[in-house]
Amino acid sequence: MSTLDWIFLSATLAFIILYGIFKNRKNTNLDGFFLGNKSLPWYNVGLSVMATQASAITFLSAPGQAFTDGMGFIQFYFGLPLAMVVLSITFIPIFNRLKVFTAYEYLEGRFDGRVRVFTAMLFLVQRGLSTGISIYAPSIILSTIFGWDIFWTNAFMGGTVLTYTLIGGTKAISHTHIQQMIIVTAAMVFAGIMVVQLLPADIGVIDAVKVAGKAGKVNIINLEFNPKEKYNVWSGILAGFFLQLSYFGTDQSQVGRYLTAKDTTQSRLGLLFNGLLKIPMQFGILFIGVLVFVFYQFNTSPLFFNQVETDKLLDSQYANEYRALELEHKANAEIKKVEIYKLHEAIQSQDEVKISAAQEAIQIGEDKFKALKAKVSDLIKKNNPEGDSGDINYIFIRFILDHLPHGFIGLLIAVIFSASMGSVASAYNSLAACTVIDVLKKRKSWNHSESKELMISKLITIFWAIFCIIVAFFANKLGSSMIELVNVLGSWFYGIILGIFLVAFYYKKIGGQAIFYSAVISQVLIILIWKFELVAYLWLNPIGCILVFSFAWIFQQILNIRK
Amino acid sequence: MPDKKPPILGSWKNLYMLVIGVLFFLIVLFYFLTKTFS
Repeated sequence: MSTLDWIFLSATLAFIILYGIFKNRKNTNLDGFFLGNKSLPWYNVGLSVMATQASAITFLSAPGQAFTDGMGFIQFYFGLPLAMVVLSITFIPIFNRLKVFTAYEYLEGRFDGRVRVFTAMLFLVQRGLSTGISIYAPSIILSTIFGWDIFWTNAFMGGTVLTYTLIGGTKAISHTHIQQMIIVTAAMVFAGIMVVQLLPADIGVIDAVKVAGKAGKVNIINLEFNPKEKYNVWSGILAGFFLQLSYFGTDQSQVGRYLTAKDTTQSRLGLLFNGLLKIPMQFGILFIGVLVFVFYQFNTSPLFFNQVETDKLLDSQYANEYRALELEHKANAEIKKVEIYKLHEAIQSQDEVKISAAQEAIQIGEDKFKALKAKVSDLIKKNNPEGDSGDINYIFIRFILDHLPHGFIGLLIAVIFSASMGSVASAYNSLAACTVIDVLKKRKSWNHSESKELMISKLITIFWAIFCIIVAFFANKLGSSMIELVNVLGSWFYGIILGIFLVAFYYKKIGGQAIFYSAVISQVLIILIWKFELVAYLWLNPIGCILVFSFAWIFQQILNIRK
Repeated sequence: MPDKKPPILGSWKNLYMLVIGVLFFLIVLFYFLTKTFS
């Protein structure tokens, strides 16, 4: 990075952190620290909800995923608008009427303290681990690319967030989310424009989409129902609906965001705003990945985007093998380039025979590219078993570094930091809220003044920050796409938690004992279903929810008979 | 406490229909994009 990049990066981060601290430094009690005195307007809630969900991995992994597999990942979000509507009708009025700090508080009144604590614990485990990954994912990429020490990158990433989370509480988080979302959106739009500018002079956006489409990257919709397939319309709408409902309705990192709203109307408007904008935003991010793909059809791409690992290969006993693969790649890329131009001409002249012939040749070239990449990945594993042999997360950042102007590189790195800070800040605050409100405050010995309660909450926030940074240190060897990993982790728990809440709302005859045992058994079964790969991970959400419902009903019948 | 009306579209039901309608529109749009370009 150049000096200009460093100036952009430092100035952006300093502005966000200082703004957050100075605007919201006066918290006197838990109400201010965790709920922001319930004072925020809908647009603040909406942007905060979006910034919490969109972590740095969203901006790093998603373009790489579109580059590799096309745009089918967008289907993952199809359940989100429906979930926003259901939450607005059901969850929000209940939470606001009961004036809760956390979602789990409601469960004690409806069932008993044991169910509340159990559900809170599921959340703490899941969110603590996920946040560790959210810190680690951008850190490992930045430390790999820039040669930064992973320890200090993790510590910086997790530590800077702590400063304004600790001083300004939830209000500072919401205010900084606005800046973060503005910076992220502006930078991504600019990145998209830059990619288009870098395409050959005679290739416009529509031409690029046509070329990408013929190369199989505009596969946005898949109508085929296959429960073992990760992304299709049905898994997105049905299974995705359960995942999003659980995430936004029962994950305190999100519930805490809309509980800061002035009233039910502002909470609802914030969530519906998210329901309207999330899919177009994600479409834009994936589309940038597709444009990057097209760019690399007309310009030779790196064989492997993680240059640090390939540099290590060049210094190893595998150097000759790697060089041979690179030569093969360059020859393959030249052939592919000719075919891409042929395809472009055939599309212009609408010659279907020539389009098919070029498509076939390009597909052969793509398959060869993937095979060569797999060989490099194997070499990396042999040379450095600790190294990152996955490449999806490096595609977009490599493109930024190699082809975008200085200054802008710093700004995009700031985007990665900002996005990470946005989701991590919400997580710290929610982990602390849940620990204090749902676990510690329930102890009979808890009898503290407001100022002491606030001090304890801040200490708990520090504890969770340290915990998440430690998880980030150990989150090595995570495999291909980290955005997927976070979603898989969520899917282990979300169905169960959602099941508990839905039974609470809609199945009044079920009591605390029945729901508690059904939740424990269902959780074990979900882990087994995942372990034996019986279905794609998104389906764990509805299955978990249905299991909780079913077991709760059976246990309640048994308990009724015993009585 | 009775529900306050949303600031636009007159009722919450209309606002929910808008969100669902936009989702439906996007799915149809994506379907045609897939059909047209793939």
